[in-house]
Amino acid sequence: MAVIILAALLPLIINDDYFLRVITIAGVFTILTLSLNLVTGFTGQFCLGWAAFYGIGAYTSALLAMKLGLSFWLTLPLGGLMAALFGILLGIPTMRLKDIYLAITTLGFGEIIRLIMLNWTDLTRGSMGLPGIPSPQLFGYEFSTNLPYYYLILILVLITVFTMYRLIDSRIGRALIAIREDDLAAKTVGIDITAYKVMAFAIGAFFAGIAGSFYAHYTSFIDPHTFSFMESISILAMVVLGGMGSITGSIIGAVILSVIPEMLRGLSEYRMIIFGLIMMAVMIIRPQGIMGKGREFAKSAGKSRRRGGGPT
Amino acid sequence: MLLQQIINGLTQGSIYALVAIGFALIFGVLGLVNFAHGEVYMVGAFLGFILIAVFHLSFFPALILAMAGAAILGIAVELVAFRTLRRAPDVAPMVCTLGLSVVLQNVVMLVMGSDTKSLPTDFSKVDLIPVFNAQVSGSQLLIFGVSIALMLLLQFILYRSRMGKAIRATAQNKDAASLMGININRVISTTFALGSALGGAAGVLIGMYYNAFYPMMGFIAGLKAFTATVFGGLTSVPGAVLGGLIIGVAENLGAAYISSGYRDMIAFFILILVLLIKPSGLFGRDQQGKV
Amino acid sequence: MSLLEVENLTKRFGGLTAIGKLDFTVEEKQIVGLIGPNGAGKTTVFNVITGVYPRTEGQVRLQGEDITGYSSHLVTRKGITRTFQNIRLFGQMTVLDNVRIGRHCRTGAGLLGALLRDAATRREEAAITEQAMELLTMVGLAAKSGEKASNLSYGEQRRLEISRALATDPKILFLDEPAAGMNPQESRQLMELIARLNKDGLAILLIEHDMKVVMGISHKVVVLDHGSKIAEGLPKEIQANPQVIEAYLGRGAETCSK
Repeated sequence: MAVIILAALLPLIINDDYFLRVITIAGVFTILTLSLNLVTGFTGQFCLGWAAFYGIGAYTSALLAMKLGLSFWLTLPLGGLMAALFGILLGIPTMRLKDIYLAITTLGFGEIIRLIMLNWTDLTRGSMGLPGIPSPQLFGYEFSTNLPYYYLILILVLITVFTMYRLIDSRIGRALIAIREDDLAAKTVGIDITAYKVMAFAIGAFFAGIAGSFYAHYTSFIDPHTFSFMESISILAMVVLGGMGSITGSIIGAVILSVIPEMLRGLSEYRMIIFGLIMMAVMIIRPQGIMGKGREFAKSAGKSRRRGGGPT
Repeated sequence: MLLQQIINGLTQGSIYALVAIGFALIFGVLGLVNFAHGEVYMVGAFLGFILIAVFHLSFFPALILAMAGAAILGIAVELVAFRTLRRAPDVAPMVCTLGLSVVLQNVVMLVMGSDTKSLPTDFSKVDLIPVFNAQVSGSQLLIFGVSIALMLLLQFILYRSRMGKAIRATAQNKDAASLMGININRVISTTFALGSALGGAAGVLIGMYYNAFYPMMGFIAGLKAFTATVFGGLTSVPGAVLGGLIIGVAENLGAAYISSGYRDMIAFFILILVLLIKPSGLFGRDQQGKV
Repeated sequence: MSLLEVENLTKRFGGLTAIGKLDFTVEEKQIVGLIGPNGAGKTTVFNVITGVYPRTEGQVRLQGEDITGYSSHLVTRKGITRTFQNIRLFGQMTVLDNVRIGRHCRTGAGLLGALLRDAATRREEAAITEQAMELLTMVGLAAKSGEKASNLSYGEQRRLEISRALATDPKILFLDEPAAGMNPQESRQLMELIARLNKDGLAILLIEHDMKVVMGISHKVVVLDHGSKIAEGLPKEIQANPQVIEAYLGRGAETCSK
């Protein structure tokens, strides 16, 4: 609770526009990290194409606003829903895949989406991107400075965190964790693992889409390069650093890995190297991440070594 | 036209095949995927580039040295990302090699710049040999020649040498192999060295073929090569070769007759189809774990 | 009509026939022991009936209803729950949660319920917890409800797996070598537990190598060898059956047996 109040008062304490911008972006990544953690950390489905849902939300929201003139408050959830739809589309055929096969397939999916964004120039203007995405308006007030965006993302983050907590500590959450722990045993106790895996993808994708929609209207320009494999890896690094299967961990991981690169502006060329090194270091030193307790990580998408068997 | 596309496809496919073999070898002995394998290919390519452009070596010495360099990198990858994580759950090496591949891509980008490098073209042997109503260029013949030679060399090593036998034994049953006195660590390092050398060779070849060397070249190629490996059955070397060739041809045909912008997606579609229809691939071992 | 009817069940893996034309039944409130030498196909029978492997031929009926080829979670919903030879618990979950998840297929709170925590959902959760605690008390694990499942001892993990299976409210419980790795005292406690469950009305199909357990508790024994049924009958009859003895001990052993 105290954290929320502190967060709400933050802009008044630190009166720096640049800082506000960094924190707002950190908020976007927090939602992305939480959403990926639902699928990868809690349900054990390794997904390497998360930026695709981020991008689908962004493009959907931007295009609906620009081509149909819809208000941001409609395009925001619609972006999320479109991403959720793709989450279901991805989830259904891949439900039987495990570990590396799932990882590669999701990677491929992410690339396919990016290629579509790049090549469907009639719709997306390809690599020229979409400039001039309109800012949100609330009862006539237009979001022109960083401040209203900050409060908006704060609210969205709180909604996401609330949803995750409620979800995990429920009948559904138990089912997801059971699937992560041992999906054969989960089937045996009567859980329809297909339905729940798809549900996890859909919900996760929804929030990633919401983050994308926000991002599009915040920066007012998007292009396919923002939603690349590197972005997916960055989000994964945040999940891994914070600890798979830990909600607080995701927040911490997201904040650390989105704020620190900004602080090290001078080292911006090294940003991805640092991300990569962090991923490696976490695996070698403390695979469960900062907030991971014990061996949740051990169960996420990994079982005992198999020698050349099939992927299911 | 069709024949030409097929020839081009087989050329590209041989490259994928060489990289795919590396994935298959590593998966065979460790049961894990090396995400950094594509970067070994890329580093091999750049090594070749530097050796030729800066040190003015001719093609074959550069190729061999690049392969050696790639092999050393492969051994280092194994030590850092796999040996340290031998006791860790399966995901750890996967995430670690993912991180490593990102590091390698960006280090090369910093050192060499992210622009595409080219060699002064005294190397692309542009003589064209007519074959029916198509043409095979000198560099294509070179690629075929080198690829086939390397694959035969690998077969020889795997089936006619003691180390090869040790590798095959380890791939079948690591514990039994170690009980038989086989030094597993040495086998694994050698396997990585072999697979990486092939990958490095592929990198040099493709760099020469298109005369383009850039830091991200390993990413997509690695992905497609992995698709080939899965297609062939994950642990099967001949399967990987077949998979690579098929993807190369399919890609070229698709790009020519459907659309070139979506060319890269063809490999992914093949991957998804394979995983949905016959996940164990063409020659894969269809092992069901004991329940 | 029997509770469980297995008719002509066959499972082939490529050229290998793991189960061949198997027929047997389990009646209401009956304990049936399924025995046979290693590799006879006993666990495969479990796997095929519960949908882990698809069957090659044959039919399975539960209370007259054809459940052949049903996927695992549906089989559980219909009323058959099984345990595993190598215990499969949800290691990172607490003991209590492992049992609570067993109630999953008998409850219905969905996404909305999870988010809103309305009165109905809260009631359901409370009921789940209460039922889970009852089951834990029954197997003597109530004191450890907050522990991580992977921290339990082997015997405790077995009991937890059984209580999780019971949470799914099965009509018939498939136990796969529940006494494996147990000392004589633990085996006896297990037998008592199984007997008690049976007295309360649960039918049980039991795979077990520990002959004292099987013979002591089963109403009927079915013997498999190389995938086929070689004998079926009362425990006493089975113990004296020469074919059974031969299957376990090899030819010539009958003369040594009593």
